[in-house]
Amino acid sequence: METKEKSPARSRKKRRIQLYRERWYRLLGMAFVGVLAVFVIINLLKGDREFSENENRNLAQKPEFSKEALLNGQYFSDVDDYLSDQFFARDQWLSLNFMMKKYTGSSENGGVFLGKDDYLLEKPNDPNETALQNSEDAIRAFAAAHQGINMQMMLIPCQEAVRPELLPDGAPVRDQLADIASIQADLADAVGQIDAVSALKEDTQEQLYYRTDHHWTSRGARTAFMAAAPALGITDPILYYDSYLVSDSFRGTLSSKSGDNKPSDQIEVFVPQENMPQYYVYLPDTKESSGSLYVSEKLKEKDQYQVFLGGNHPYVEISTTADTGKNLLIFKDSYANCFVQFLVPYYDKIVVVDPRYYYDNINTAMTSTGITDVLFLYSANTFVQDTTLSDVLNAAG
Amino acid sequence: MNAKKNVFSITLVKWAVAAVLVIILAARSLGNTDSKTAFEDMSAAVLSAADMTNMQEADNQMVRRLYGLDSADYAGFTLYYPTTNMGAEELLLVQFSDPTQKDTIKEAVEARLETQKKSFAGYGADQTAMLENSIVDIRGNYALFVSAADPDAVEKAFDSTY
Amino acid sequence: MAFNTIQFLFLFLPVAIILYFLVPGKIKSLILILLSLVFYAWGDPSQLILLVFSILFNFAGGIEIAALKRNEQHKAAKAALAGTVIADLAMLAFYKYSGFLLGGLFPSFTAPPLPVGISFFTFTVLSYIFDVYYERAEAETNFFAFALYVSFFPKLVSGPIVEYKDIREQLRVRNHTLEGFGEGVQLFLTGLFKKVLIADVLGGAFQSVYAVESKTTVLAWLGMIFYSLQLYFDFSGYSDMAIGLARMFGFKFDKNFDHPYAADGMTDFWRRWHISLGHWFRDYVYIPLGGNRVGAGRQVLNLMVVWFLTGLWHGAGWTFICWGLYHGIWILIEKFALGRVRTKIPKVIRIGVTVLIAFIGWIFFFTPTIADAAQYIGLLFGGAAGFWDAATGYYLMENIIPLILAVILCVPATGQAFRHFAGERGLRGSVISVVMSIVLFAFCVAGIISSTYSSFLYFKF
Repeated sequence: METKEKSPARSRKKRRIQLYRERWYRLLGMAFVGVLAVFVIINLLKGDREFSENENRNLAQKPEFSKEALLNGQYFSDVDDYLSDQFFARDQWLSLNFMMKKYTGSSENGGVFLGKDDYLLEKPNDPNETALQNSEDAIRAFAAAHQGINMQMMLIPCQEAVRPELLPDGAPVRDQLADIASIQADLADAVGQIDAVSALKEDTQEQLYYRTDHHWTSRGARTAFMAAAPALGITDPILYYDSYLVSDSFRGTLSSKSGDNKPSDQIEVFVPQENMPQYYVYLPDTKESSGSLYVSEKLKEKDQYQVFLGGNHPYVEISTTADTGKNLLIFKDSYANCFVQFLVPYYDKIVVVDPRYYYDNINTAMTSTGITDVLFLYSANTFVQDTTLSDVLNAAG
Repeated sequence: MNAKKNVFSITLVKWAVAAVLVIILAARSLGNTDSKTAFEDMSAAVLSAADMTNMQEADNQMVRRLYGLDSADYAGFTLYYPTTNMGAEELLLVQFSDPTQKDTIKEAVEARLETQKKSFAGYGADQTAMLENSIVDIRGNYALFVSAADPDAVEKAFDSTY
Repeated sequence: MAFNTIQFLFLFLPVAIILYFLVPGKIKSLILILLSLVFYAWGDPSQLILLVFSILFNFAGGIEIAALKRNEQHKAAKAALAGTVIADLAMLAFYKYSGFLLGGLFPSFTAPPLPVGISFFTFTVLSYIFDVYYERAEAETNFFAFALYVSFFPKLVSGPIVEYKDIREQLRVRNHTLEGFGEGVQLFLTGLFKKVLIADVLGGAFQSVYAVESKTTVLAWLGMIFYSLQLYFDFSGYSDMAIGLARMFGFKFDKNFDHPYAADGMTDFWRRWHISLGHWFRDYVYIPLGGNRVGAGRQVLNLMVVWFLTGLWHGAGWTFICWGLYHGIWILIEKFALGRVRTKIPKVIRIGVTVLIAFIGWIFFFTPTIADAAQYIGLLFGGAAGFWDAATGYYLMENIIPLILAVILCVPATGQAFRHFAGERGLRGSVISVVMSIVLFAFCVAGIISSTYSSFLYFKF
């Protein structure tokens, strides 16, 4: 009958399928063992890296064995870190992951928005209310203790706030401008508030921020400088500058954070065309002097933004031949580093203090330098979470 | 009967195993519980047991500089550091505001010890010896680091106040 | 240790494979035990002692009960059963439930840290003790076989819960073929893809959506959907990896998931979701309480007990208990109230409603309290920020591709189509599938490495 006739054919087909399946499993089994073997051998042969430029951190090294470390689990977790950090082609795997995310429609990675026109945009930080309150109180007390000095404050928003059209469509983002407005309103009675926000928003011609880094460009700093000049008592700010392109291969923090290595930035420095005094830069922590605000060796490293002042130092003293009788003290985060180049013609001395690294008494420094003006120059992102400024101001007593 | 005796010995072994486990766990947990002592009391006890003549209290900036820590992060934080560059007397007392801080403190203290040892290596035999004899006690919700002529006295005060 | 880590894939597993297949048959089980103890200790060495003592205690317990029964000391055997089970449950209760039970009475009580896998290996040893007592299996006199049963690393941390009687023979004798190994690899890789490429991505999506303070209706739905899919792919992915690994070492375990989001009704759902747990509660709680042989009233009670315990097993909290009872009620409705009505509803709608019921149930898993769960369910009917907004569109489009992929993979036909293409269409299909698997494995490695990415950017800048 029918079933009997179909049987031999059907069972032949079943047998064939079974053979195919077994062959598939054999192939897969061998391929998997092969892949594991290749990966293991490459990792064994590969030497260890000490530092990752991409992630800007030291990579875990082979952990030391000790009985205590074994018993409390520390040794195992160190081995885990070591294996991950020293995995072959780590940076390439990170890039692969980035491409996977990007080509499956993702508009953000690592807390960074992949914006339009190849702009990378960092997310505004949520304020740390306690730290913020402490900072405001400290600033107010400091202003009260130095009545004769012209104090000004400028908070710089991050790129999203100024150029929201670059954000991916619908991306939810904190209204940092509201944060800035609220802080400036709080401190308006104690310290002069410079409105950099409006100036940055209105300047639609220039590239105010880097594509790959969370800092502003020298052009952005210049725009803010023009807005700040009146408040700083500069009645005749210089309008014309020579610009020098010092790099066009800058890939900054947001590149590293997001894993997107495609866009790159240009770094420019600006030198006033007229009235530029001579100056020298002194760093007390390393006892070095320099005739330039710029440190070109830093252009060979990953973080090329450090070309400005050589990065962050606790205390930088710039002395000029400007002969204006004014000495400026700037409390800052890294944003001020490329702002200083615009201030040189107007002050005899510019003291730049980074409270994150400064441990001395600011009052003594102010008296011995004869400070006449103070500027608080911070990016809003740093300021809303900073605890170091209040430490420094309060330590002054 | 013999069979019953055999079974009984199995029963005995079974419950002996359980008893051993309970004892081990109890002993372990006693060493790990949090202390209910307030930071002020602990600090008073520890400081009174220490010879403070060569130490000075550190402010937040100094804490950050020497240990890379933000004292505001912790429920209680006190640091006394040497009055001169040639001293090695130091006392650190920290109360954690959450248990994950244990590792941070441990690493910071170890790093500080390393730095200090390196700076005296070769010429500061007394200081090196003092640092080698220093006591680090991190348990539950408190951490103590004491480098002094008589660290045991401080450790004892810490232990009994804990 | 977790399977989706560099240390497992490129240190532990290669070492395990090399050692296991090089040593002679007699020591293979011993190697597996040693590997399993290292595997467990890797995460937290201080908890290893619990596993070791559980093995010793229950090994003695099984022999004790079997010996007492042989001696006709039935009362003593029952007492021994009770004593052993209570001790095992006491350890689980202490670590998992003391915070829940005592936290209300003594607010300053801090629960001890939860040892990894304790819910799973406790239920594993309990299944053994019960099987010995009810004479469904002989007590294990070979200590190493028993130790392997409890500690076997593929199933130690996240299951499946393999009942002793199902594995007894395999602990002694296993067949090792390249085909079997390859079959294990296939399942392991499937699990790895599910976990790294789908579950982890959807998990991130859920976290972002859940963090939004004022959600629209659609966003609330998206959150629930992301979570429900993440949970399935995470759990079933991990089970696949476990079963696949076991297969690589010659063990055949039953599947733990069978496309639960294609289930036709809640009873069917529980034949497809966390199958080993369902079987455990059926075999060791429901049937001993009377199962289906008792009257309807008693059955209802038995079911509610089982569901209460199922909820409690998933987590020490009222939300989990509520979730368990929620499922229990739906099962009861289906069993006693719906009857013939079900056949009149089109199958597609039956499946859709089942999925909806299951998804809403998971809300109890991710909200901290029952009140929060109720509030979240309310959002499904009317969001706090309206029906839709630009941010909702953003979150949807961000994750649209993983979402679609996940939905496609929920359907049984997808897996069947792949297996047909790979295993029934000749050499070409097989080779292409193997290459695809390797490519996907590379993507998984990229994903695993990126989860270890950290950058001290701002510290330096």
